[in-house]
Formats: sequence, C-alpha cells, structure tokens
Amino acid sequence: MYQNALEGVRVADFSWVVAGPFCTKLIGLMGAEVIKIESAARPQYKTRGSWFSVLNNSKKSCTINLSTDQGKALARKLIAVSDVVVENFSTGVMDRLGLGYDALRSIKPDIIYISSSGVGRTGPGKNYLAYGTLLQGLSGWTSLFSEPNPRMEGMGIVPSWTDPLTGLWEALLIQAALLHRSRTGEGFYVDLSMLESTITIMGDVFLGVAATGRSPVAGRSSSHSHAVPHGIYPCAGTDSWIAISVERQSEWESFCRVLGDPPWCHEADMLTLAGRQRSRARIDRLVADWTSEQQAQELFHRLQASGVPAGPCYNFREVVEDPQMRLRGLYRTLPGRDGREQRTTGIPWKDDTEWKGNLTPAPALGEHNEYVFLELLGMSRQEYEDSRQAGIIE
Amino acid sequence: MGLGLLNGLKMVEVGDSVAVAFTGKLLADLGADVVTVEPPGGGRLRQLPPYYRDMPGPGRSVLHAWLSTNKRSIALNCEKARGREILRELLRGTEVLVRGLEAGLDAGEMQAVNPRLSVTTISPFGTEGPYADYRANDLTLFAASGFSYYLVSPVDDPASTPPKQNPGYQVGLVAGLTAANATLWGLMAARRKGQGVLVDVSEWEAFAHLLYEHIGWLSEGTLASDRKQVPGAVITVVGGLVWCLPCADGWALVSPREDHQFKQWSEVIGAEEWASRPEFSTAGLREKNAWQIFEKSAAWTRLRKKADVFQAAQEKKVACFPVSQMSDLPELAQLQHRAFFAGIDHPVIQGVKYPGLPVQTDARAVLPTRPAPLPGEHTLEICMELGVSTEEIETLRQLEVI
Repeated sequence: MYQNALEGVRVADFSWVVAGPFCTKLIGLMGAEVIKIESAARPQYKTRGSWFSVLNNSKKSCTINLSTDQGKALARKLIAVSDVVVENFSTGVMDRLGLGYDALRSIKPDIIYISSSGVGRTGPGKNYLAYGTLLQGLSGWTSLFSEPNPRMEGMGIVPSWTDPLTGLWEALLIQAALLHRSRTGEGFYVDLSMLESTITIMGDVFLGVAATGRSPVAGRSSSHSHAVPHGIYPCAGTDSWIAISVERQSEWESFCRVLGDPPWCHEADMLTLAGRQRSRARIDRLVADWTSEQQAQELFHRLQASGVPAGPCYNFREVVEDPQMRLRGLYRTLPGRDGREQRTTGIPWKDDTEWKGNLTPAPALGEHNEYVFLELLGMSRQEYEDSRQAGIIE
Repeated sequence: MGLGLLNGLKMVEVGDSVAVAFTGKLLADLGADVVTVEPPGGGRLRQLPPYYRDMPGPGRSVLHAWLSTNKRSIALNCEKARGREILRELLRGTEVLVRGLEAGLDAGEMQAVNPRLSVTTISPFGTEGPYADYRANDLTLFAASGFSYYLVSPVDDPASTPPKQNPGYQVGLVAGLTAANATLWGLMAARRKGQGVLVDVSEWEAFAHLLYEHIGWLSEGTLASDRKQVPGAVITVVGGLVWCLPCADGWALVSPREDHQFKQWSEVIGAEEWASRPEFSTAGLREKNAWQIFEKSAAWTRLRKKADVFQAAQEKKVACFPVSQMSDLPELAQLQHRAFFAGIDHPVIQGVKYPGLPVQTDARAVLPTRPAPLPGEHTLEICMELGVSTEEIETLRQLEVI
C-alpha cells in the first residue's frame, strides 16, 4: 500500500509522556514500525491513561530495564537494526545510558536521532526540568489570553499546546532527515527545543510586538483585526456562541442582508470599513443583541450560505459530531483491551481514498517482547527467559 | 537558519494564505528549492500586517518577510494563456505543488502535465463535503476547532465569560506545519506509487487534531459536559498538578507533580514538614488539598522575584518557569545562547529578528538564510531555467505575462 510511505523504516522510540509519542504516532500512521522501549517501573507505562491510547496507536511495545548493563546492550542492539531514535529524557540521560548520538553513530552510522527537550540540549538552561504546560507560560502563549491568576482561568494552560506542536515538528524533521538519508546515505542529529517549537508557531504575534513595539491585547484576535464585526457573539441557548468575521465590503453587504437589513446598517458610518471600524463597539453590541436570539448552528449555515465567514464555537463533542468532520474521518474507533471501544485519531489529512493512516490499537506494556527480542534481535528462547527472570526484560 | 535536508527537492507554491506560505517556508528552510508563484506586483501576503515600524508600504510586511525566507519568486499572470503555459513548464520539472484552494488551479490539469507531481491542497474545511465552499479565517476556525471554548474552561460563570479569540494566525501556522508533514508524506508515497498523489489538508481538521486529551476523555466518559468550574478544583494537565504563583514582580508556574519533586519543592519554600503530612502524601491527596499548598507556596513566592523563584526551584530539580510577555522573549538567556532569534538581511526591514527553526544540529548542516524575495525577483532566472528565450522574456514583460 503506497500510503504506508514509511514502511521499512524502524523507529526505536524512547520518548514518553506527550510530545514524543504524538510524533511517533504520526510516523507509525505513515507506515513506519515504531517500537516503544518502556519500563514497568514507570507509572505512566503501567497505568496507560485515556490519552495514552490516543497517542500510542500504531506502535509496538517492548520493556527493557535500562538501569542494567544487559538492558543497555539490548537497547543498543535494537538501535543497530533501527533507522530512527526518538527520545525526550532530561539532558544527559541518554549519554549516561551509553545511548547518546555520538555513541550510537559508532554502531549505526546513518542513524537519525531526534532529541527533544524543554529548552534545548545546549545553553545555560539545558538542564532545566520542563513540562509543556509550563513552557506555555515561559513562551508568552499564556500572556495572549489573560492576566495570570491563581486558578489559571482562561490563561491558555489548557488545552495542551506546546506538546502536540513539538510532536508535529519532530515528525517533520524525521521525514526530512529520511529524505536526506535516502539521497546522501547520511544520518542526522536534531536537538529540538519545545520552547522554540512553541514560539515559532506564534511567530506572527512575536513579530507584531518586535516590529511595532505594541503588545497584543489579551484575548483579542490580532489576525484580521481590521474586520468589523470580528468576534465571538452569544447565541440563544445555554453557553452557545458564534464567531463572525466580516472583512470585505461584499461580506458586509451579505451580512446586512442576513441581519434583515435593519436601518442602522445603512447609516453613513456603516457604509465604509473605516466608518465601521470607528463604530466597532456599537456594532458589536447590535450584533450581539441580534445573535443572542439566533440558534448558533442555524446561523452558521445561514451566514456561510451568504458568503460570510463564521464558525460555531464548538465544544469537543460538537467537533466530533460535525458532519464535515465526520467526512474528514479524523476521529476513529478501535476495539479497546477492556472490551470498550477506544476513540482515537487518524492522520490529520486526506488523500483521494478513504485512507487515514495505518491505525492499530495502542500496545499493552511489553506486548511485543517476543517479536522484538526473539525475532528481531535473534535471542534464543532460553536467553529470553533468563533475561526476563533477571529483570532485564521487564 | 536553514538546513540542507531537502536539497534537490523542487517545489512550487501557489496561494496567498498563511498556511500555504508557512508550508512553503518550512520546506524552503529545510533546503527545498521553493518557487512561489505570485501575480505581477506580488501576492496578497505582502500587504498583511504587522508592518515594519507600523507603517504599511511596499516591502514593509514583516509577516511576509518571515514567511518567505529561502524562497524564489516568479511573477506570473496565470490568467493569460502563456502565463499558464509557463506555470505548466515549471510544474513539469517539479515534484511537489502546494496550493491554496483559492488559487483556482486544477490539480488534475497540473498532474496531466506531470504525472509524478504530488499536489497538496490547503483549504479551511477540505476540498470536499458540505463545507468545501465555506469561508473562514483564523478567528472562525479557532472557534470551530474547540480551542476558543476550552481556553476558558472551566470558569465560574460560562454565561458571562465568552470563549477566547485566537491571538494571531495560529490556525494557519499549525495547518502549515501539518501540511509540510503531509507534503513530505505525499512525496514519499508518490515515489512508492510511481505517480503523484493528491493531499488534502483542512486547516480546521489540522487544528482540532491537537486536542488529543479530549478524544481520550470522550472515550472514557470523562469529557466535561459544560464549562462550569467545580468549586475548589485546580487544573490538572496530563496527570500533573500545576500552580500559578504570584511573585513580587509577576508570576511563576510550578509543577512538582511527582512525589520526589513535591518533597524538593517543600524544601525550596521551607515547608519540610509537608513530608510527614498525610494529606500531601500522594498525588491524589495533593490535588484534593491543592489550595493549601497554593497558600503556603504563594506566601513564599510573593516575597521573591519570579526569576529568583524559578532559579531556586530549578536548582532543586523542580519544574518551574516565569510567566513571560512576548516582549520578554529576546532577553531570555537560553534563546540568546541558541541564537534562536536572528536578523535577516532585507532591503527594507532592518534590525528585526525573526524566530527560526526550533533546532540545533551539526553546524556543518546549517545554511545561511536567504531573505524573502522581491515580487518576481527570480522571474528571469526561472524563465531561463525553463528555456524561455531572452527575446520572448522581453516580449512577455511587455505583455505583462511576467
């Protein structure tokens, strides 16, 4: 199947928590064989919470006790038959395990090594302990939404932002490095900073501050900010809202028609964008009065039918149930290990078929130990059992 | 900064959305030869704010300058037959076309020219389905993806707390990062297939895809049914408690989520007695008693500057960072050390530093960054590469085809 474009690529995946697994899931969906190297000693691997099953589809799992010399040797053997290493331990951990890039290059010269960390593997902060959510504060992301407050209400701590972005960057770099290797035969080392991954995805906002000296207004959209009306307005019902953004003159005229052409739409100030910008506060009030009597979903379609950019303010259940999103096929259902169905995501794009990635359920801890150690690494059954007894394979 | 990973890959970009431009930028920064096809005079992106020194004018869009590094520009009037022919010639020798749906090119027509051409199409909702023609921008897609809703969830009073607006072009940028992934996948898939593939990226889908926790919660039946705050609750993210603590000069975020980290934090703030307190003995109990921990922690942090709180915590291996404003970022020593913000030589925009690729690697692999091209800066060069004669180039100029 040509869509499994990374078939034949093996990834030794030492990453955990979110960013690395988010990446290796995408790589697995593209057809690579992703082998998680896990440990029964880490609570996350044992508990495998709800999001674990979303981020770890399309992977295999083996368990190695990396604190033993034999465990480290097994990891090196696995890497020797792999193409890519992904890791997001604290700085220095992989080196101490003898699994740093320089050490691995001697056993696998063309290895592609993706090392992701909070603020990077170099510099005065290389040893900082970091989590994606905290980096959302350090990166300035939270300042774009609200003043800090003890309850973190509306601050942009949630939803998780830095972690999935980092995963997307890592997946891009792996693919680019694979193309580079196929052309040159060379491996590649990437020291990826989660902080920098976050800031680049706010590059437009950062540059706005750098170029104009003005800070953005927290909680206000700065893209298309010249549009009027441009905002989120209340609709009929409980906690129901709609986003409307009217930029072009033709959109304004259409918007007025949907509104029912009330007299205020034809006042002198309303005829030009400059006039509407001067009347922004009044327009916002008038639009909100009107939308608060409309059903959001019905209004969304009515505005769109007239060519006015609008979007319902969905909660997640509404995102999943939206007919267009269903057609995109992003959300998939797999049989879960406990008998219940497990919802997850496929690849976030489409081709011209129904393909949404090489999707399989997240593995149980150590589910593929026999495959990895017996089949892939050529261990004898006796060696395997001895290693299990000795706690090297956990 | 640029990397040479994609050297030798030829790509054409047509479209004027941030998502299309960022896809092209990423692939160009990674080494691909990206030709952006613009109408004569330049594309719409060149008109978008922010502007250098806050004044619009030719060459003053800082957004364009950032999104167009390492690209070449051909100014081509594709409304004219010969302009379209030149585009076809360009695509004949290209492996990847990234286009905005608004660009109006027919993917099939382009593949007829070059069957090995893969086409990535980027649009708000996707190329098919009931919303295929719906209009959108970052504000409306941010809202429709669920982000607006969950940025202010939970809150005390949802009715008086509107969902949040997006800060800038985050939907476009995430869609571009996703589309760059999709494009390289498409390229490798096409090489296996022996013919080009069609890749359809919806900005909305790409952005909603980031909400990985919510699909897990939906599965296990724990997705909140409204935005109402549970009294006394604190925010837990991926199983780890986070506190936002007031400092003498701002705020700091701290997350001593594991047992040993919590012990270390208690030592940082001089609350060693917490180690023997049963109500803090497990993560679950600490979550239940989070406000007690907040009060004691805040009493300590209020007397100290955020930088001192951050240093004291990190010295004890507790995850902690100050809350920054955008304007603080150029001053962060870590970013300075890694030269993350770098100036680009540009004919108009001087002294502005741009965020780069978020990576460090072997210095030998790093290439200098070429500035954003002027409109049609490479038209002559590209036409000559395509074998258009110098005489015809002059004629085409006069006819305003190029």
